[in-house]
Amino acid sequence: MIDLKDIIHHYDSNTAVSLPDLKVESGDELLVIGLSGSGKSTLLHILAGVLKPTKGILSVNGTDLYKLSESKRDAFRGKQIGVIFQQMHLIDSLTVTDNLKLAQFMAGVKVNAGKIKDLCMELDITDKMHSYPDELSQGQKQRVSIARAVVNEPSLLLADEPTSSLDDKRSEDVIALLKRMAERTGSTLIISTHDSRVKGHFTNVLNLDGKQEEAV
Amino acid sequence: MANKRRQFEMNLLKLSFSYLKRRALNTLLNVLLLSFGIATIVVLLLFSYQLEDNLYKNAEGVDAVVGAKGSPVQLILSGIFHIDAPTGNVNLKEARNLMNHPMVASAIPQALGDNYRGYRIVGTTSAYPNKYGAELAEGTLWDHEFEVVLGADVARNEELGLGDIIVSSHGFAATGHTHDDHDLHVVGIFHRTGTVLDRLILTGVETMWGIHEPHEDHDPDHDHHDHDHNHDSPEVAHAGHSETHDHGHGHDHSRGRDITDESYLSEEYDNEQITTMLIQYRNPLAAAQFPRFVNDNTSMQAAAPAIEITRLLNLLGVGLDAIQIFAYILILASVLGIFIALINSMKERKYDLAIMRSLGGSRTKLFMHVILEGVLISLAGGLLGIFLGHAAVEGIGIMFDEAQQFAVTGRIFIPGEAWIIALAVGIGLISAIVPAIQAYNTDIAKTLSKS
Repeated sequence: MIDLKDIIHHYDSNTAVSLPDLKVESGDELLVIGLSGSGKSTLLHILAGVLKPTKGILSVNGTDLYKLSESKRDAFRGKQIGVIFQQMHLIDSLTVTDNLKLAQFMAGVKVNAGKIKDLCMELDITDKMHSYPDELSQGQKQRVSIARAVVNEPSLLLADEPTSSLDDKRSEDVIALLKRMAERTGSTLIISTHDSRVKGHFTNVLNLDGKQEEAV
Repeated sequence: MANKRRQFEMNLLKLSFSYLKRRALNTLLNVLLLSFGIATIVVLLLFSYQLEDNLYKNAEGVDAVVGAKGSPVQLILSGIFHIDAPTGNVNLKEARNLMNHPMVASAIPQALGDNYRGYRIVGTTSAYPNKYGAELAEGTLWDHEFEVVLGADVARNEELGLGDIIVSSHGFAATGHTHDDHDLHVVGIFHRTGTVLDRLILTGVETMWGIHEPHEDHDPDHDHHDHDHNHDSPEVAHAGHSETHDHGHGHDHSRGRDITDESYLSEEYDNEQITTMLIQYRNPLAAAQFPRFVNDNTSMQAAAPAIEITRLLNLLGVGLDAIQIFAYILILASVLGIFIALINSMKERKYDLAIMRSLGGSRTKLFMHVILEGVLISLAGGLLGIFLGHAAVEGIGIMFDEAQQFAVTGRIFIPGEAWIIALAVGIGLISAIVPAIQAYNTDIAKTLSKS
């Protein structure tokens, strides 16, 4: 379960982002929607364990993430949280397989080539396993990025703007894929986007547009 | 094979290597730059080590070299290392008196002045090869005039064997005028000693005197003129070609008088000259007194190899230091090169690093990843540099006569080279430390927000 309470984050001395309290049960889905500056990215980074909020508590499956030391939080993130970034950011010097192995290695998980192969098969990128990212199409890159996020079977799967710049059909495909992957691994799925087209796919929607950045 | 390679598990080494491979040209240039600096250091190390080792090894057991007055360094170079012109000759009679001096334990005579194709011919006694522990690979030592024994390199390089006949040239250059009327018969070949002896041709002292005498005076029985030799240039006439020798069963060559290690001391040779004597003292006190005695009371001079070699090495040291500074400049440039490459790489890879952190990679892992990249470049540069250094020394040893004189080879490894590997790793660490700290300080949220 994800439990977000009293989160405020100060970016500098006079700008802060306040986030609503939030509870998401394990295996549930949540769409966080909002315009630029609504705090979507801040929320995503805090949930990903890469941005320590100035105030408040984030509990992931009962673990107060920001009470952990940095090294323990790194390890927790590697094993329990998968993030799909808007820009994908695959490592260009590594093949698809090695990008996925890197995710296992960085998380301190035993490299499992069989699991990688199964995942690639499921995402229909088996023929690209030994290709480098610059040899892939945008769609293939996104599937590799999703594979990297789920390869360690995280309990929380986060996606940042996964449908931006995609047409309606492909946008729907990506959302379906993310849902399938989250279901496959039993992960809680939280998608952050400004794309209102995807609203219809989620029953649980958090709209941040009503919130404003607060002056301290 | 490619698929098998892909099965390797992920680790920091593979990750670092993948980045180096990605910018292969840049990596190659940095490796090359460092390797040139390291190679220069290796060349200097190998040269100075072998030079010093060779100088002292050749001079071992020689407390003083006595010869004509002149430059003491020149006397040492010509008397021990056979790489400079002698200072002149000394009268045998005077030299003989010095041999009997109470401070002298032993004196090895050397009569120089001729060569065969650049290899010096030394008239001496059996004490000379004995000093170097030389053993005969084939044949016997000389026991007649005009019999010679070849050093291992002379025999190998000139493809000479027992029974071959050579003709000497006057002086130390292969182009000198030839002593056509005195054939020299090869009666023995030494095993390799790793000393100057390998590049010398030894014979009795009387042979050197005989070569320079009118032909009919030295050996009435000798019948060279009946042979079909081409004496226009120093040539070898192989056994069976123009001479009918019967080797391997004594020395019935009829080519010169019998000689022994003492025969040259006969009073009949009082008017002859020798070039140098290698002296061994009876006791250490002589080191202080004997040279002064010789220099003050005779027409000769005595030079101590230990002193002159040290002086020579000090002189060489100045030149070597200058080259060493150049090498360190190259290494410094390579440190900067690796540093700049890594710093630029950090800028290009800031998102990669942030992603690695978001995947659970610790700061330490990222730090080590960048350090490893620097160390991989420097280690490759170090190993390539060691290889290039050895190859260069081996090449120089083969190509240049001067280097051959000192038996310089690239096929040896010296303890100092272990430090070069350590130096290379140190260079990698120094070059990578700042970029690694940058990687360590990667702010995931800030970096990814900018993307």
